[in-house]
Amino acid sequence: MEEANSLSEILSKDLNKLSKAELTEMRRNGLIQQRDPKFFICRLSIPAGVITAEQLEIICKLANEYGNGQVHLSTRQGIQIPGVPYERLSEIQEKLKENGTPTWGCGPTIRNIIACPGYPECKYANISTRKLVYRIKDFIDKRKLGYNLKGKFKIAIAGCPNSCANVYSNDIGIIGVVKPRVKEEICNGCKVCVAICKEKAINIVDEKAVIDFEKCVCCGDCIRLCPFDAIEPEKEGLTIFLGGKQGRHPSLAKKVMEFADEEMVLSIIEGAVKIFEKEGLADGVRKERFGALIERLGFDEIKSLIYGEEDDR
Amino acid sequence: MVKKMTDEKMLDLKGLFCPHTNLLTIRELEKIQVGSKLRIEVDNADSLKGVIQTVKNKGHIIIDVKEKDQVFTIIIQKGR
Ligand code: SF4
Ligand code: SF4
Ligand code: SF4
Repeated sequence: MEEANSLSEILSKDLNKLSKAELTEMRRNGLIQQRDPKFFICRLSIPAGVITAEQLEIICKLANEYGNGQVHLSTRQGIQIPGVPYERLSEIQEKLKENGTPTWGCGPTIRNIIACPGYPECKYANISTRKLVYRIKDFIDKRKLGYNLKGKFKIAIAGCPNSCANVYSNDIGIIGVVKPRVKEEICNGCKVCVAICKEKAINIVDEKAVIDFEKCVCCGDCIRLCPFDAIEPEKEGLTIFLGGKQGRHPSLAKKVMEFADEEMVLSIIEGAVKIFEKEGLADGVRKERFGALIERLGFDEIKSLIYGEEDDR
Repeated sequence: MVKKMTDEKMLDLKGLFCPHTNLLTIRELEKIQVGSKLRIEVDNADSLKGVIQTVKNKGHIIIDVKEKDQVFTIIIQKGR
């Protein structure tokens, strides 16, 4: 693989001879130069923030052996090993790869994909967030998406509208939703759903539950909590949001599609990343984020560009 | 052993909150026989939600729910 080669080539060079582009390539691969330039932080790729306890033990061992004995838990559910001297990077990098926790993901890349616990751990979850993260990660890796980005790109997934994974502050946010439908022949008007719906979206009309879809956020609570199973899923899917960010000027992502399936999510991710690669601005100091690009070109224009990319496939 | 289907215990949980309401309900259900009924009263959505979730997940059957002045009376049949 070309990238791997170039990284090992970089790492065999003298530290003082590294170019800016090479340091960027190292950052992309999760090797981030510290304030003291002889040392690096190794950022690990941990999709959805889940690894096995055994993998964690090895990471701890490596942190003692190669780093300064600390591990840093990043805001994106990743683990970083600080204080690794430049000469030891190729070795620790190999060992981390063997451990299934390769270094990856700083600089202009698609960053570690984060997710809430989702199904089966969380009782509110409408989807297995982890499975979707792994599918997206696999898709991105196979197509080498995001290798020509000018800025960073972040993806987050939540299993329900409670949005515990901050989907609104990522470039692409995805939420698992389910639209409820009342089975009138079973509903007895007991009002449990009226009491438990956080959105106050349900009323009883003529002894039957009636859902106001202007208010309903499709969390699925009423489906799970109706004592008589009188509410069923009408449709399930994924709500997709675009263009959220934090940083110096935070802004929230905007909804682009409701009840999408996984294929559609993959298409939109591919489309958005390609538009961002093509149209995003960077001048060495300033790097436009996807949300700013959306503002500059307009949400409708971005949407038609994304759907255009999709047709090109 | 013959099950007495008319057995119906009553648990007043008004003024209490989840998880207290959950624990008391489960404890009471443990005491009665499979097929027997327990009537509980809760007066807030938090307790209602918790009790229904727990009772359903543990395989018991909710056979009736009535609401009057924000008080929910739930009749549960012990499922297993
Ligand atoms: S977002 Fe929903 S599914 Fe995910 S952890 Fe929060 S409550 Fe659970
Ligand atoms: S909780 Fe179920 S049975 Fe009761 S009113 Fe709502 S839909 Fe009808
Ligand atoms: S899905 Fe959620 S928001 Fe919609 S009616 Fe049911 S409980 Fe309310």
